Amino acid sequence: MQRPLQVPRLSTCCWLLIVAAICIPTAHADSAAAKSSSAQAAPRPGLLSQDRLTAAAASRTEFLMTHGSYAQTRFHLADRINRKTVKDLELGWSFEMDVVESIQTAPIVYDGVMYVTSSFNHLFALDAKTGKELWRYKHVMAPAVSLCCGPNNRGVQALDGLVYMGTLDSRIVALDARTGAVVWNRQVADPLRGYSITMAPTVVSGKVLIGLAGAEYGVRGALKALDAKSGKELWTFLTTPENSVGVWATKDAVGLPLHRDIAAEKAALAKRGDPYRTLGGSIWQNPSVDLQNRRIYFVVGNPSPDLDGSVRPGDNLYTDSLVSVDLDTGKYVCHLQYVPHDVWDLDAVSPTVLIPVKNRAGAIVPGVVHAGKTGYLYVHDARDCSLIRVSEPLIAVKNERALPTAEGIVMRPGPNGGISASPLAVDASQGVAFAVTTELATAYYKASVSTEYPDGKLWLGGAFKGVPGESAGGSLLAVDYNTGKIRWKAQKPEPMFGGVLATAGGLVFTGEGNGKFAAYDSSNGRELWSYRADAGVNAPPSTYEIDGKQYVVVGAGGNTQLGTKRGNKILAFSY
Amino acid sequence: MTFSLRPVETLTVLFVLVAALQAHPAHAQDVKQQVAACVACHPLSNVPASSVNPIIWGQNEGYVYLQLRDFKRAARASTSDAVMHALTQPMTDAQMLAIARYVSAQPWPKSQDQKTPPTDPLFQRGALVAAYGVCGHCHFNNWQGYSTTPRLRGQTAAYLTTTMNEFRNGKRGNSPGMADLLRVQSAEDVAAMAAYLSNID
Repeated sequence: MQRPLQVPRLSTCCWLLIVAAICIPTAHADSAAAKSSSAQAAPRPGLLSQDRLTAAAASRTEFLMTHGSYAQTRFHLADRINRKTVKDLELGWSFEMDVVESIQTAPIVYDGVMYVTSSFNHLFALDAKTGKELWRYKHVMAPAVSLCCGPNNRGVQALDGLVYMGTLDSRIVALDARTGAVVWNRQVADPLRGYSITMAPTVVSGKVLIGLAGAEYGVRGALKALDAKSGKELWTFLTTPENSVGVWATKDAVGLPLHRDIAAEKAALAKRGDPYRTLGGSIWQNPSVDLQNRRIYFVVGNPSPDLDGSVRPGDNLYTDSLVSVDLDTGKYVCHLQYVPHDVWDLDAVSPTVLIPVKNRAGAIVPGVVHAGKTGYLYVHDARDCSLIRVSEPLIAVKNERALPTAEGIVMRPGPNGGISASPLAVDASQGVAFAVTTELATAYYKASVSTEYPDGKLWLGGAFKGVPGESAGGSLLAVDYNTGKIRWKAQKPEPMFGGVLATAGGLVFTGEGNGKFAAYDSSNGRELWSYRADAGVNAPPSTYEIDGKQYVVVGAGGNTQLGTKRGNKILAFSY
Repeated sequence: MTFSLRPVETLTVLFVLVAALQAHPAHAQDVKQQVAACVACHPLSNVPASSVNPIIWGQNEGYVYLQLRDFKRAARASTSDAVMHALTQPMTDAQMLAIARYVSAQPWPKSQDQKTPPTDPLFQRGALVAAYGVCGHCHFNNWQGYSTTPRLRGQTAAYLTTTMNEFRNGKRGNSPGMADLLRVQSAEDVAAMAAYLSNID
């Protein structure tokens, strides 16, 4: 049993005073920083420029954004920790956040400062060398928020002296990266409609890009761009277009039959009209950015209601799709839908990776790679979103795309995937993507009555249950994105959720819900080092170097969906 | 003990409560006065497990606000909701938010006569059903939930059983998602979950 978040009960004027005290820069932060290290002064972050962010993948010492770089390969050049030296990796420091609940944050590090977030949107700036706190920001949440899958937060991004966070109550806060003072705080959607934000923003080219979630509540999903300096909204891309019916596809992108009753759907369309207004389409993770071509690539989640297709006829564009839009205008460029007219909650969640890939003719082309809840790796041509290949199944599959029944039908994957929010890591030198998978059976139930849009309330259109007696597990694996074949696979005893870090030291790092955090030989999956944390390690790791030492850092706080042991620690290992 | 009034008494209570609520705008002092009336049906302490009126003190703020709003607009409109529907008619949105804030800040009363200890097979069955029912997705943190998702831990067994069954039979209509999820649970599993959740500390 974990300690619940304790919030002092105070009147409104006391709350205002406390918020002001936290947010107004004071001498306290500086004096605390001055006291923190006897050897040298605490780090003060400079202005992290766009040029540095653009070159993030080339940094040997810093981890400048949640997935390493705009291409989102989570591949880092630091190699002091490598296949030979990793056995000597030790815990360097640990920091305890003030919230004991799911940790999904991907730590970022620049100028010797690390930024990490807890559930419920507390943000901490730490001395990356020692783990000492520099400042913290505790977001004051709106009274009524609607969540899907836990109160987690996936991290922050910084640019030009500001650090940006999206909140559960659908705000973006921009803080002074040195002091934690609030510079602007913008409401971008209404939590009472069911909107929430759990992803880290992507900050690029003077814009803060943020995606909205809420497809369990019938929202109309969106990706928004805000001006990084002022917070003013620049453009919005709605993930469900006014014409959402598409091509009436009878198969999904893998080629599996969808068992749709197209005639019934067309009749429903004639009666009800296009369902785009309440069609869902959450965005859960960072878009990748192609700065040269001024394009971004992101994936979109499930339609609303999750399991009942009868009230939303058509393919339900662009739910369960890869989408590319113009960075500067938000205008649609291309898409590829993974699961048309989804009734299995098979969101596209895991963030896209931009990497050169071989097309079917064997020519190298700009590629986009995504690992799905469906349990497959999809490889696209980035120029037009077209699908080049689908991998072999990365998980055991059962009754794929069978229609939910009144009595319940057992399927693999279920609503946890496959691969859900966990980011891939890609090692281009080996031509592989590393993924962590969940192997869980779920019983899917069709609703006995259809319901109309319930005005911002939970809207599922069916139910799912776990299945006693069915095996559960997961894996860490390497899949060759140029052939679609699994190169190696390390089976794990529990469903895996968190994310992967790959390094030039020939290693991949990932954690498990039982608290294990380990390093593996990236060429064959052999375990080379491990540590046992006191809570589930269900977050993506990062790495950086300071004063000749390399650090690997990860959150150990468990996960709400998988029910793994909760904690509050950020762990930094060093060699 | 279930709360029941003769019609003339009901009308009197309603008149007094409605008058009290209309008299004052939202204000720290006034909120206290307004919610004092709630104690008649929602006691601050020693709530019997057989009480069909739920424990509200210490319930999550977003959930309390939404229920007040839904009572007022008759999104919760079963026959047993008539009193709450009447009571919420004069409430403004600001008053509902203030009431929700105040209510959520109070200590959660213990529910009496906890008859199902963790060793009881019914308790254990309830724990298993709730785990496989993915209830902890939203009612996380030892069934505390958060914001618009209510706390279940230590709620009265009678209220939990009644409510879960009202979601199943359609009598409670203000969360279709909850209705969908509970319709795939049997009456026996509902009773087990109620026994489990009401008996957790």
